[in-house]
Amino acid sequence: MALLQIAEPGMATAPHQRRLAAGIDLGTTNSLIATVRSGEAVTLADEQGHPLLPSVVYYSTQNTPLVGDAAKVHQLTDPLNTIASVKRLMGRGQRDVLTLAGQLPFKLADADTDHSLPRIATSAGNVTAIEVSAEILKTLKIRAETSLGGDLSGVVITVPAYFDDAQRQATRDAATLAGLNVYRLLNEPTAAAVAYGLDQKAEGVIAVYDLGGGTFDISILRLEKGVFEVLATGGDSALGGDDFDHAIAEYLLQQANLSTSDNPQVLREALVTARAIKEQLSTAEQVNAQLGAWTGSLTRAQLDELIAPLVQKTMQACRRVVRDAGITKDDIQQAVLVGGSTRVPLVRSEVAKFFQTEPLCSLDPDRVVALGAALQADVLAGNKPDAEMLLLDVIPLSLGLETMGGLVEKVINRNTTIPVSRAQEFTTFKDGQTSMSIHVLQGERETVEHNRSLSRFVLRGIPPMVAGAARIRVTFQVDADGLLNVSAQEQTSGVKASVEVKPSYGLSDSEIATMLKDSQSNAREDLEARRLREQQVEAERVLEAIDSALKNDGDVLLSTDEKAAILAAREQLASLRQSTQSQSIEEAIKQLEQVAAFYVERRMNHSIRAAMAGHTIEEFRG
Amino acid sequence: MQSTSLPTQWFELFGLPVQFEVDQTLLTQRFRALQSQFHPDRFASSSDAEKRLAVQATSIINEAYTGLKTPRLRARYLLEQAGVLINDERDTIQDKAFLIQQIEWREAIDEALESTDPVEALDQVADEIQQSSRVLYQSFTQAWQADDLEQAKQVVLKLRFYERLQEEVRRQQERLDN
Repeated sequence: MALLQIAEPGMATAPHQRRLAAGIDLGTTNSLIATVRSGEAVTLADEQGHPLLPSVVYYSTQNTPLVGDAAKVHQLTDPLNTIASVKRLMGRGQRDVLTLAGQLPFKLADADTDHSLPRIATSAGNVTAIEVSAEILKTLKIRAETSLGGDLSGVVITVPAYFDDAQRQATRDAATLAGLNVYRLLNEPTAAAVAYGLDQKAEGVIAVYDLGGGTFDISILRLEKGVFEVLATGGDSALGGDDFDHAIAEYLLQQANLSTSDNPQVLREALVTARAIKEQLSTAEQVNAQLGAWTGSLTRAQLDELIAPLVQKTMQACRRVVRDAGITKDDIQQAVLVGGSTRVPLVRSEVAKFFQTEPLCSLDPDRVVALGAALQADVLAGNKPDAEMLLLDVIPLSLGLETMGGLVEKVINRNTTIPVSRAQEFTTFKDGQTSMSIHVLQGERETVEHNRSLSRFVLRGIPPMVAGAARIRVTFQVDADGLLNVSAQEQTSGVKASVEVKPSYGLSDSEIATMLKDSQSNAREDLEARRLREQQVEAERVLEAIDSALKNDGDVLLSTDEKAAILAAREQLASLRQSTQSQSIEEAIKQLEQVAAFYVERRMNHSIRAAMAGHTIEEFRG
Repeated sequence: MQSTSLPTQWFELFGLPVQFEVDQTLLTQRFRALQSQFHPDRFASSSDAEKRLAVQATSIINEAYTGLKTPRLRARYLLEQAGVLINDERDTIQDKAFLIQQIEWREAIDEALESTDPVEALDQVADEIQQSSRVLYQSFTQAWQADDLEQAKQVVLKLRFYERLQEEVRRQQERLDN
């Protein structure tokens, strides 16, 4: 966090130590962590040399949770305590999960209400999807820090482009629980495009078809001189290779005449067999199969028939996204395959048929997303000050507000470039109305019940007026992570209310704080030492930044009094920079930031005006 | 001292002449240059205040870019800057022939849906609607240059009708896809 870093073009930034940064692909089936080493993105392997960490967590009464292969071995013997595919539950409410429940081979704890956060019952107690994901992230964090020999400064975590606000927020919360500093949430297809763009020097319009274990994304991007501009994105955040497995498993269960209703182990076995069959049929034309007392065989053609409806669903999304991008299929120069499920031959042939080109898959479809994330993390950490790479992404689903009659009024349309801020004015409908309830939704449908409810809040204290006289301005601000902030203000009186959209079935900040404390109580001393070191480094950076800013334009942009106030706060921090109290350094940093806040804003303003003035001069010359 | 609010004038921000015709190549080029400078990714390790400002600044840049790229929004913005406000709900179109034509377009969409190849037929209607709306761009330029602001406003209101038609076509196309 360096203060006042707005660099004039061509101005050299102070050299600083290379920071350790990583990209994380938190997948439904497998997760990976990658970093940039000597200019090249590489995935980091575990001690056995495996880069893929199965996204499986095993809970037992004796041990701390086991993650990855160590957890996977318990899958058949103790299915209810072996949590797999937890990504499918991220950001989901009780009601969503119940509709998935037939497919989930673990047990949910009884919920208080429809809106509460679903909890999975394990022998180590009830856990949320966020906590399970945090275990996976922690394992990756340790792997990276061991391998790189230091603490990670920050990470980029990838999410399906089609993830909604609640799912993104859940991912960020999991990272907080795992003690990770998140630079950015990055959309998976965009990450893949970065990896391909930089590796293959691809240019022009490309389509990224990303079919993972549990999610499907299709993004269309324009690549030009290091700028990755997403034109449109679409998909299905509950469709992936898992669903192929289920389709095959259902067929097998039918053949074997087995029921799964009272035995989760039967379903687990059927799924494991189904998965093996699917993988073998990627190369073989026919395989033998066995489940329970049944033995038989399955051909590629039979597999194609079982999964065809699912593959067709992805092709529908492709058609829509081409339209949303405002282009035709002929404009697309290249299609790129990402995600393990694109190994399925039917998927490949359908993608080739649709885009009328042989799709590119020269980078390992399992790793490419993590590699792209690592490349962006390296840039965001400031390790490549001259990098021209710029990612312009979009919001995947429209955002809106509930209006009269249970209808949704869209405030921001899907595929709008982020960050974006948009305001809409509403009015009261009753005389003397003093409060207004604001219901924020995400999705494409016209009625409230068909969209994802993100948040509800109430604007109170509106001065009583006749119906229609109040002017309530609701502002939506979506940041570069695709996360939404909503605020409301009555214009005539100035009464305000705002929320950082936290889904009703997410974790509250205090719940996260408690969980963090619980998980770190034994490592508290470590934590304090680390925090002190971080604050000392931070103090140096803040001081350096403010000095360079003041030298640059302090006399132009500040009055004498203003400058004196900033200098006083600067001295305060300078005197505390080597203090052993992390708290007091932190406070001095905060204090300086507060005092200098208007200066930061003035500099930003000034630099935008400078950018504008630059154009005008060109105009005259041109 | 300068004002602390970020500048928001669209044309000035992109260094483009204040007029309806926009050089799209230049627009895109400058959009990227501005984004390169102000995108939140450039402030990933900056203070929270700077991060917030970068989000605000790029929101303004994105809004201006979308506005300048979209002919109706661009025209509407020019009028608003000239003091002519537009209310999509309350302002009405007097041109009867235009309104009848709009009804005919709706019928054309319905007919396309009934035809033997609705996907192809709908694509064709979409093209025709697109071409027809392009004619209005010229009408706007003429009215604007002649300083006939009332006429220019009528054109902008008409463009909104075309936008609704296009939205309807999109809705039907998606329905056919599924």
